[in-house]
Amino acid sequence: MLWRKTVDVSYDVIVIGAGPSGSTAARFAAEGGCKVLLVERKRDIGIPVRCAEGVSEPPLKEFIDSHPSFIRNRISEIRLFAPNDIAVVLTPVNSGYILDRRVFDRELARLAIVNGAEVATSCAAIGIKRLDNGTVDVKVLHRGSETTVNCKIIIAADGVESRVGRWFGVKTVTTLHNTEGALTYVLSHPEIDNRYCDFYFGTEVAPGGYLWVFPGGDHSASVGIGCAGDCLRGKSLHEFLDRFIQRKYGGAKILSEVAGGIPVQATLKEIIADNLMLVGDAARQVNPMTGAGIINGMIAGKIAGITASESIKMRSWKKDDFRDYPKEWHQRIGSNHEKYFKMKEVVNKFSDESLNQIAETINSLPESKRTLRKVFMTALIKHPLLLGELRHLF
Amino acid sequence: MPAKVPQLNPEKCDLCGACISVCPPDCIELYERHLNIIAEECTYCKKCIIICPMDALEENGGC
Repeated sequence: MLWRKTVDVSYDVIVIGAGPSGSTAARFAAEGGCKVLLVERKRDIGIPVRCAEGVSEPPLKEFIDSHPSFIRNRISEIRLFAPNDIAVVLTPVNSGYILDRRVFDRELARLAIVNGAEVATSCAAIGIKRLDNGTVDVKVLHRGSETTVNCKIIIAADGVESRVGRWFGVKTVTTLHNTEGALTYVLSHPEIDNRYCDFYFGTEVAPGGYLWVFPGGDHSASVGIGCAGDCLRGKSLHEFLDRFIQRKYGGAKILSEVAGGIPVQATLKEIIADNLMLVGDAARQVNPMTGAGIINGMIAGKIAGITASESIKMRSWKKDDFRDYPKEWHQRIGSNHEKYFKMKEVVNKFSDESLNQIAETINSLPESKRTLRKVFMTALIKHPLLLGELRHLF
Repeated sequence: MPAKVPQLNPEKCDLCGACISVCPPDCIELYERHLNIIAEECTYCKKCIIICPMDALEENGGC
Protein backbone atom coordinates (compact mmCIF):
# COMPACT_ATOMS: atom_id res chain seq x y z
CA MET A 1 0.00 0.00 0.00
CA LEU A 2 1.17 3.47 -0.80
CA TRP A 3 1.98 5.54 2.27
CA ARG A 4 1.56 8.66 0.14
CA LYS A 5 -2.04 9.51 0.87
CA THR A 6 -4.40 10.49 -1.92
CA VAL A 7 -7.23 12.91 -1.20
CA ASP A 8 -10.42 11.79 0.53
CA VAL A 9 -13.80 11.77 -1.23
CA SER A 10 -15.29 14.63 0.76
CA TYR A 11 -14.41 17.63 2.92
CA ASP A 12 -16.22 20.49 4.61
CA VAL A 13 -14.01 23.08 2.93
CA ILE A 14 -11.72 22.98 -0.09
CA VAL A 15 -9.31 25.89 -0.38
CA ILE A 16 -7.98 26.36 -3.91
CA GLY A 17 -4.50 27.89 -3.99
CA ALA A 18 -1.77 27.66 -1.31
CA GLY A 19 -0.47 31.22 -1.36
CA PRO A 20 -0.65 33.37 1.79
CA SER A 21 -4.44 33.93 1.42
CA GLY A 22 -5.30 30.27 0.84
CA SER A 23 -3.02 28.83 3.53
CA THR A 24 -4.35 31.35 6.06
CA ALA A 25 -7.96 30.54 5.12
CA ALA A 26 -7.24 26.81 5.44
CA ARG A 27 -5.56 27.33 8.80
CA PHE A 28 -8.46 29.23 10.37
CA ALA A 29 -11.16 27.00 8.86
CA ALA A 30 -9.32 23.94 10.25
CA GLU A 31 -8.79 25.62 13.59
CA GLY A 32 -12.57 26.18 13.70
CA GLY A 33 -13.10 22.43 13.43
CA CYS A 34 -13.69 21.97 9.67
CA LYS A 35 -12.30 19.12 7.63
CA VAL A 36 -10.17 21.09 5.17
CA LEU A 37 -8.31 20.27 1.97
CA LEU A 38 -5.86 22.85 0.62
CA VAL A 39 -5.00 22.24 -3.04
CA GLU A 40 -2.10 23.79 -4.94
CA ARG A 41 -1.74 23.55 -8.70
CA LYS A 42 2.05 23.66 -8.62
CA ARG A 43 4.44 21.02 -7.37
CA ASP A 44 5.95 23.33 -4.77
CA ILE A 45 4.34 25.81 -2.43
CA GLY A 46 5.99 29.24 -2.63
CA ILE A 47 7.83 28.57 -5.90
CA PRO A 48 8.26 30.40 -8.19
CA VAL A 49 8.18 33.66 -6.23
CA ARG A 50 5.73 35.84 -8.20
CA CYS A 51 6.16 38.81 -5.90
CA ALA A 52 8.37 41.70 -4.83
CA GLU A 53 8.21 40.26 -1.29
CA GLY A 54 7.75 43.51 0.65
CA VAL A 55 5.40 43.63 3.67
CA SER A 56 4.67 46.07 6.44
CA GLU A 57 5.94 44.79 9.78
CA PRO A 58 3.13 45.36 12.36
CA PRO A 59 0.20 43.57 10.66
CA LEU A 60 2.26 40.42 10.12
CA LYS A 61 2.27 39.78 13.89
CA GLU A 62 -1.41 38.89 13.80
CA PHE A 63 -0.52 35.77 11.82
CA ILE A 64 3.03 34.65 12.44
CA ASP A 65 6.05 35.41 14.61
CA SER A 66 8.78 36.88 12.49
CA HIS A 67 11.61 34.44 11.99
CA PRO A 68 15.00 34.98 10.31
CA SER A 69 14.36 32.01 8.01
CA PHE A 70 11.85 34.02 5.98
CA ILE A 71 12.92 37.61 6.66
CA ARG A 72 15.72 38.65 4.39
CA ASN A 73 15.90 42.33 5.21
CA ARG A 74 14.34 45.03 7.33
CA ILE A 75 13.59 48.41 5.77
CA SER A 76 12.90 51.61 7.65
CA GLU A 77 13.30 54.16 4.84
CA ILE A 78 12.03 54.46 1.31
CA ARG A 79 13.13 56.62 -1.61
CA LEU A 80 10.79 57.91 -4.30
CA PHE A 81 12.55 58.89 -7.53
CA ALA A 82 10.97 61.51 -9.78
CA PRO A 83 11.39 61.13 -13.56
CA ASN A 84 14.44 63.44 -13.47
CA ASP A 85 16.01 61.09 -10.87
CA ILE A 86 15.64 63.48 -7.93
CA ALA A 87 15.13 61.32 -4.85
CA VAL A 88 12.72 62.01 -2.01
CA VAL A 89 13.66 60.11 1.14
CA LEU A 90 10.73 59.21 3.38
CA THR A 91 10.43 57.44 6.70
CA PRO A 92 7.16 55.49 6.60
CA VAL A 93 5.11 55.18 9.78
CA ASN A 94 5.74 51.42 9.82
CA SER A 95 8.98 49.71 8.97
CA GLY A 96 8.84 46.81 6.54
CA TYR A 97 10.32 43.44 5.81
CA ILE A 98 11.61 41.90 2.63
CA LEU A 99 10.44 38.31 2.85
CA ASP A 100 11.75 35.11 1.39
CA ARG A 101 8.41 33.85 0.10
CA ARG A 102 9.78 30.41 -0.71
CA VAL A 103 10.13 29.86 3.04
CA PHE A 104 7.27 32.13 4.15
CA ASP A 105 4.57 30.50 2.00
CA ARG A 106 5.65 27.04 3.03
CA GLU A 107 5.57 28.05 6.69
CA LEU A 108 2.00 29.36 6.30
CA ALA A 109 0.97 26.06 4.69
CA ARG A 110 2.65 24.22 7.57
CA LEU A 111 0.58 26.26 10.03
CA ALA A 112 -2.55 25.13 8.15
CA ILE A 113 -1.40 21.51 8.49
CA VAL A 114 -0.61 21.95 12.19
CA ASN A 115 -4.20 23.10 12.67
CA GLY A 116 -5.53 20.01 10.91
CA ALA A 117 -5.79 20.87 7.20
CA GLU A 118 -4.70 18.43 4.51
CA VAL A 119 -2.57 19.68 1.64
CA ALA A 120 -2.33 18.35 -1.92
CA THR A 121 0.24 19.79 -4.32
CA SER A 122 0.33 19.18 -8.09
CA CYS A 123 -3.44 19.37 -7.70
CA ALA A 124 -5.25 21.72 -10.10
CA ALA A 125 -8.97 22.42 -9.76
CA ILE A 126 -10.36 22.15 -13.30
CA GLY A 127 -14.12 22.37 -12.83
CA ILE A 128 -17.04 22.38 -10.40
CA LYS A 129 -20.54 21.00 -10.32
CA ARG A 130 -23.25 22.00 -7.86
CA LEU A 131 -25.26 19.01 -6.60
CA ASP A 132 -28.95 18.92 -5.66
CA ASN A 133 -28.05 18.29 -2.02
CA GLY A 134 -26.43 21.73 -1.79
CA THR A 135 -22.82 20.54 -1.92
CA VAL A 136 -20.25 20.93 -4.70
CA ASP A 137 -18.18 18.42 -6.63
CA VAL A 138 -14.75 19.76 -7.52
CA LYS A 139 -12.96 18.10 -10.40
CA VAL A 140 -9.20 18.11 -9.82
CA LEU A 141 -6.20 17.00 -11.80
CA HIS A 142 -4.02 15.47 -9.08
CA ARG A 143 -0.55 14.33 -10.19
CA GLY A 144 -1.92 13.92 -13.69
CA SER A 145 -5.04 11.91 -12.80
CA GLU A 146 -8.55 13.31 -12.85
CA THR A 147 -10.60 12.80 -9.71
CA THR A 148 -13.66 14.32 -8.02
CA VAL A 149 -13.76 15.63 -4.46
CA ASN A 150 -16.94 16.77 -2.75
CA CYS A 151 -17.23 19.74 -0.38
CA LYS A 152 -19.70 22.15 1.14
CA ILE A 153 -17.66 25.33 0.84
CA ILE A 154 -14.97 26.41 -1.60
CA ILE A 155 -12.57 29.19 -0.67
CA ALA A 156 -11.06 30.37 -3.94
CA ALA A 157 -7.54 31.70 -3.35
CA ASP A 158 -6.39 30.97 -6.88
CA GLY A 159 -4.68 34.25 -7.51
CA VAL A 160 -4.87 36.86 -10.23
CA GLU A 161 -5.43 33.99 -12.68
CA SER A 162 -8.58 32.91 -10.78
CA ARG A 163 -11.21 31.04 -12.74
CA VAL A 164 -13.12 29.51 -9.84
CA GLY A 165 -15.28 32.61 -9.31
CA ARG A 166 -16.29 32.58 -12.96
CA TRP A 167 -17.40 28.96 -12.68
CA PHE A 168 -19.85 30.17 -10.03
CA GLY A 169 -21.03 33.10 -12.15
CA VAL A 170 -19.00 35.77 -10.29
CA LYS A 171 -17.56 38.35 -12.69
CA THR A 172 -13.87 38.42 -11.79
CA VAL A 173 -12.54 39.56 -15.18
CA THR A 174 -10.31 42.65 -14.93
CA THR A 175 -9.91 45.45 -17.46
CA LEU A 176 -6.54 46.23 -19.03
CA HIS A 177 -6.65 49.59 -17.25
CA ASN A 178 -7.00 47.89 -13.85
CA THR A 179 -4.49 45.11 -14.46
CA GLU A 180 -0.75 45.60 -14.32
CA GLY A 181 1.62 43.40 -16.23
CA ALA A 182 4.65 42.89 -14.02
CA LEU A 183 8.15 41.59 -14.50
CA THR A 184 10.79 41.06 -11.82
CA TYR A 185 14.46 40.20 -11.91
CA VAL A 186 16.47 39.23 -8.90
CA LEU A 187 19.74 41.10 -9.41
CA SER A 188 23.11 41.04 -7.78
CA HIS A 189 25.10 44.26 -7.91
CA PRO A 190 27.56 45.84 -5.42
CA GLU A 191 25.83 49.24 -5.59
CA ILE A 192 22.45 47.99 -4.42
CA ASP A 193 21.81 49.89 -1.19
CA ASN A 194 20.48 47.48 1.42
CA ARG A 195 18.89 50.27 3.49
CA TYR A 196 16.21 51.54 1.11
CA CYS A 197 13.21 50.35 -0.82
CA ASP A 198 13.29 52.46 -3.98
CA PHE A 199 10.38 53.45 -6.21
CA TYR A 200 10.84 55.06 -9.63
CA PHE A 201 8.13 56.94 -11.48
CA GLY A 202 7.70 58.46 -14.93
CA THR A 203 6.43 57.75 -18.41
CA GLU A 204 9.91 56.75 -19.61
CA VAL A 205 10.50 54.46 -16.63
CA ALA A 206 7.17 52.75 -15.96
CA PRO A 207 4.09 54.15 -17.75
CA GLY A 208 0.91 53.67 -15.71
CA GLY A 209 2.75 52.16 -12.75
CA TYR A 210 6.15 52.17 -11.12
CA LEU A 211 9.47 50.42 -11.00
CA TRP A 212 10.85 49.10 -7.72
CA VAL A 213 14.14 48.02 -6.19
CA PHE A 214 13.63 45.98 -3.00
CA PRO A 215 16.97 44.94 -1.49
CA GLY A 216 17.35 41.48 0.02
CA GLY A 217 20.11 42.63 2.38
CA ASP A 218 22.99 40.98 0.57
CA HIS A 219 23.47 43.42 -2.34
CA SER A 220 20.89 41.50 -4.27
CA ALA A 221 17.47 42.98 -4.97
CA SER A 222 14.14 42.27 -6.50
CA VAL A 223 14.06 44.81 -9.33
CA GLY A 224 10.69 44.88 -10.96
CA ILE A 225 8.22 46.87 -12.99
CA GLY A 226 4.44 46.94 -13.08
CA CYS A 227 2.56 48.88 -15.76
CA ALA A 228 -1.16 49.20 -16.43
CA GLY A 229 -2.21 47.04 -19.37
CA ASP A 230 -3.65 49.98 -21.29
CA CYS A 231 -0.24 51.69 -21.20
CA LEU A 232 1.51 48.61 -22.56
CA ARG A 233 0.19 48.39 -26.12
CA GLY A 234 3.14 47.60 -28.36
CA LYS A 235 5.60 48.07 -25.49
CA SER A 236 7.74 45.48 -23.79
CA LEU A 237 8.31 45.33 -20.03
CA HIS A 238 11.68 43.72 -20.72
CA GLU A 239 12.79 46.82 -22.62
CA PHE A 240 11.84 49.17 -19.76
CA LEU A 241 13.47 47.00 -17.13
CA ASP A 242 16.62 46.33 -19.13
CA ARG A 243 17.05 50.03 -19.93
CA PHE A 244 16.69 50.93 -16.24
CA ILE A 245 19.16 48.30 -15.07
CA GLN A 246 21.70 49.34 -17.68
CA ARG A 247 21.41 52.95 -16.47
CA LYS A 248 21.49 52.28 -12.70
CA TYR A 249 23.13 48.91 -12.20
CA GLY A 250 25.21 48.29 -15.31
CA GLY A 251 26.83 44.86 -15.39
CA ALA A 252 24.37 43.44 -12.81
CA LYS A 253 23.92 39.69 -12.85
CA ILE A 254 20.40 38.31 -13.11
CA LEU A 255 19.66 35.45 -10.72
CA SER A 256 16.04 34.93 -11.68
CA GLU A 257 13.25 36.33 -13.82
CA VAL A 258 9.55 36.06 -13.01
CA ALA A 259 6.40 37.49 -14.60
CA GLY A 260 3.05 38.25 -13.01
CA GLY A 261 -0.23 40.10 -13.19
CA ILE A 262 -1.45 42.51 -10.51
CA PRO A 263 -5.12 43.50 -10.19
CA VAL A 264 -5.23 47.22 -9.28
CA GLN A 265 -8.84 48.01 -8.54
CA ALA A 266 -11.17 48.12 -5.55
CA THR A 267 -12.39 44.76 -4.22
CA LEU A 268 -14.92 42.94 -6.42
CA LYS A 269 -18.52 43.88 -5.66
CA GLU A 270 -19.38 40.23 -5.01
CA ILE A 271 -16.82 38.08 -3.19
CA ILE A 272 -19.32 35.49 -1.97
CA ALA A 273 -21.85 33.17 -3.62
CA ASP A 274 -23.63 29.98 -2.55
CA ASN A 275 -20.83 27.54 -1.50
CA LEU A 276 -18.14 30.10 -2.35
CA MET A 277 -15.89 32.77 -0.88
CA LEU A 278 -13.16 34.47 -2.92
CA VAL A 279 -10.01 35.71 -1.15
CA GLY A 280 -6.77 37.52 -2.00
CA ASP A 281 -5.80 38.40 -5.57
CA ALA A 282 -8.75 36.29 -6.78
CA ALA A 283 -11.11 38.71 -5.00
CA ARG A 284 -9.00 41.67 -6.25
CA GLN A 285 -8.01 42.56 -2.68
CA VAL A 286 -4.65 44.08 -3.62
CA ASN A 287 -3.98 47.67 -2.58
CA PRO A 288 -4.63 49.36 -5.95
CA MET A 289 -2.18 52.18 -5.24
CA THR A 290 0.83 50.12 -4.19
CA GLY A 291 0.06 46.67 -5.61
CA ALA A 292 0.61 45.14 -2.16
CA GLY A 293 -1.38 41.97 -1.61
CA ILE A 294 0.23 39.61 0.91
CA ILE A 295 -1.15 40.94 4.20
CA ASN A 296 -4.48 41.89 2.61
CA GLY A 297 -4.92 38.33 1.37
CA MET A 298 -4.04 36.91 4.78
CA ILE A 299 -6.55 39.17 6.54
CA ALA A 300 -9.25 38.14 4.04
CA GLY A 301 -8.22 34.48 4.38
CA LYS A 302 -8.55 34.61 8.15
CA ILE A 303 -12.01 36.20 8.05
CA ALA A 304 -13.19 33.79 5.32
CA GLY A 305 -11.76 30.76 7.16
CA ILE A 306 -13.54 31.70 10.39
CA THR A 307 -16.76 32.48 8.48
CA ALA A 308 -16.57 29.06 6.81
CA SER A 309 -16.14 27.23 10.11
CA GLU A 310 -19.10 29.07 11.62
CA SER A 311 -21.28 28.28 8.64
CA ILE A 312 -20.31 24.59 8.83
CA LYS A 313 -21.33 24.60 12.50
CA MET A 314 -24.69 26.10 11.52
CA ARG A 315 -25.02 23.48 8.74
CA SER A 316 -25.78 26.07 6.07
CA TRP A 317 -23.48 27.39 3.33
CA LYS A 318 -25.57 29.69 1.21
CA LYS A 319 -24.40 33.13 0.16
CA ASP A 320 -26.35 34.72 3.03
CA ASP A 321 -24.43 32.60 5.52
CA PHE A 322 -21.17 34.25 4.44
CA ARG A 323 -22.23 37.93 4.82
CA ASP A 324 -19.89 38.50 7.79
CA TYR A 325 -16.88 38.00 5.54
CA PRO A 326 -17.39 40.89 3.05
CA LYS A 327 -18.72 43.07 5.87
CA GLU A 328 -15.64 42.64 8.03
CA TRP A 329 -13.30 42.84 5.05
CA HIS A 330 -14.73 46.21 4.01
CA GLN A 331 -14.54 47.53 7.55
CA ARG A 332 -10.92 46.53 8.00
CA ILE A 333 -9.44 47.10 4.52
CA GLY A 334 -11.85 47.21 1.60
CA SER A 335 -13.21 50.72 2.10
CA ASN A 336 -9.65 52.09 2.22
CA HIS A 337 -8.92 50.41 -1.09
CA GLU A 338 -11.70 52.44 -2.66
CA LYS A 339 -9.80 55.57 -1.65
CA TYR A 340 -6.49 54.16 -2.83
CA PHE A 341 -8.08 53.35 -6.16
CA LYS A 342 -9.10 56.98 -6.66
CA MET A 343 -5.61 58.03 -5.61
CA LYS A 344 -4.05 55.71 -8.18
CA GLU A 345 -6.24 57.16 -10.91
CA VAL A 346 -5.07 60.67 -10.03
CA VAL A 347 -1.39 59.91 -9.56
CA ASN A 348 -1.17 58.05 -12.86
CA LYS A 349 -2.35 61.23 -14.59
CA PHE A 350 0.55 63.32 -13.27
CA SER A 351 2.89 64.42 -16.02
CA ASP A 352 6.63 63.87 -15.64
CA GLU A 353 7.06 67.62 -15.24
CA SER A 354 4.55 67.72 -12.37
CA LEU A 355 6.22 64.79 -10.63
CA ASN A 356 9.60 66.55 -10.88
CA GLN A 357 8.14 69.73 -9.37
CA ILE A 358 6.45 67.82 -6.56
CA ALA A 359 9.74 66.10 -5.68
CA GLU A 360 11.56 69.43 -5.49
CA THR A 361 8.88 70.97 -3.31
CA ILE A 362 8.92 68.06 -0.88
CA ASN A 363 12.69 68.13 -0.64
CA SER A 364 12.49 71.77 0.45
CA LEU A 365 10.55 70.64 3.52
CA PRO A 366 12.35 69.49 6.69
CA GLU A 367 12.72 65.72 6.75
CA SER A 368 10.30 65.27 9.65
CA LYS A 369 7.51 66.74 7.55
CA ARG A 370 8.11 64.50 4.55
CA THR A 371 5.31 61.98 4.73
CA LEU A 372 3.33 60.24 2.01
CA ARG A 373 0.39 62.38 2.99
CA LYS A 374 2.53 65.47 2.46
CA VAL A 375 3.48 64.22 -0.97
CA PHE A 376 -0.15 64.20 -1.98
CA MET A 377 -0.95 67.47 -0.26
CA THR A 378 1.90 69.11 -2.14
CA ALA A 379 0.65 67.65 -5.37
CA LEU A 380 -2.73 69.08 -4.58
CA ILE A 381 -1.44 72.59 -3.94
CA LYS A 382 0.71 72.49 -7.07
CA HIS A 383 -2.15 71.24 -9.18
CA PRO A 384 -5.38 72.88 -8.11
CA LEU A 385 -7.22 71.27 -11.00
CA LEU A 386 -6.79 67.91 -9.27
CA LEU A 387 -8.41 69.31 -6.14
CA GLY A 388 -11.85 68.10 -7.10
CA GLU A 389 -10.65 64.53 -7.37
CA LEU A 390 -8.29 64.52 -4.44
CA ARG A 391 -10.15 66.34 -1.69
CA HIS A 392 -12.28 63.40 -0.62
CA LEU A 393 -9.29 61.15 -0.16
CA PHE A 394 -8.30 62.44 3.25
CA MET B 1 -15.06 29.42 -34.28
CA PRO B 2 -13.12 32.62 -34.91
CA ALA B 3 -10.58 32.72 -37.68
CA LYS B 4 -7.67 33.44 -35.34
CA VAL B 5 -6.42 32.82 -31.83
CA PRO B 6 -3.28 34.37 -30.29
CA GLN B 7 -0.14 32.36 -30.89
CA LEU B 8 1.46 31.05 -27.71
CA ASN B 9 5.19 30.55 -27.45
CA PRO B 10 5.42 27.99 -24.63
CA GLU B 11 9.17 28.57 -24.28
CA LYS B 12 8.56 32.21 -23.33
CA CYS B 13 5.42 31.65 -21.21
CA ASP B 14 6.07 31.88 -17.45
CA LEU B 15 2.61 30.46 -16.53
CA CYS B 16 1.84 33.63 -14.53
CA GLY B 17 -1.81 33.80 -15.59
CA ALA B 18 -1.99 37.58 -16.17
CA CYS B 19 -3.70 36.74 -19.49
CA ILE B 20 -6.47 34.80 -17.72
CA SER B 21 -7.40 37.78 -15.55
CA VAL B 22 -8.14 40.00 -18.58
CA CYS B 23 -9.70 37.32 -20.82
CA PRO B 24 -13.39 38.28 -21.25
CA PRO B 25 -14.67 34.86 -22.45
CA ASP B 26 -12.55 32.96 -19.87
CA CYS B 27 -11.05 30.76 -22.55
CA ILE B 28 -7.51 30.30 -21.15
CA GLU B 29 -6.71 27.27 -19.01
CA LEU B 30 -3.66 27.02 -16.76
CA TYR B 31 -2.29 23.64 -15.74
CA GLU B 32 0.75 22.71 -13.67
CA ARG B 33 3.07 22.92 -16.65
CA HIS B 34 1.19 24.40 -19.56
CA LEU B 35 -1.27 27.01 -20.74
CA ASN B 36 -4.09 26.27 -23.16
CA ILE B 37 -6.25 28.63 -25.20
CA ILE B 38 -9.67 27.17 -26.00
CA ALA B 39 -9.86 28.16 -29.67
CA GLU B 40 -13.64 27.65 -29.97
CA GLU B 41 -14.32 30.28 -27.29
CA CYS B 42 -11.64 32.87 -28.15
CA THR B 43 -12.93 36.16 -29.57
CA TYR B 44 -9.42 37.32 -30.56
CA CYS B 45 -9.76 40.55 -28.54
CA LYS B 46 -5.95 40.51 -28.09
CA LYS B 47 -6.04 41.67 -24.45
CA CYS B 48 -3.92 38.68 -23.44
CA ILE B 49 -1.32 39.68 -26.02
CA ILE B 50 -1.16 43.21 -24.60
CA ILE B 51 -0.91 42.22 -20.92
CA CYS B 52 1.57 39.31 -21.29
CA PRO B 53 4.71 40.38 -19.36
CA MET B 54 6.86 37.82 -21.18
CA ASP B 55 5.72 38.66 -24.72
CA ALA B 56 4.81 35.00 -25.01
CA LEU B 57 1.55 35.67 -26.84
CA GLU B 58 1.70 37.08 -30.32
CA GLU B 59 -0.72 38.14 -32.99
CA ASN B 60 -1.64 35.40 -35.35
CA GLY B 61 -0.39 36.21 -38.82
CA GLY B 62 -2.27 33.35 -40.46
CA CYS B 63 -5.91 33.35 -41.42
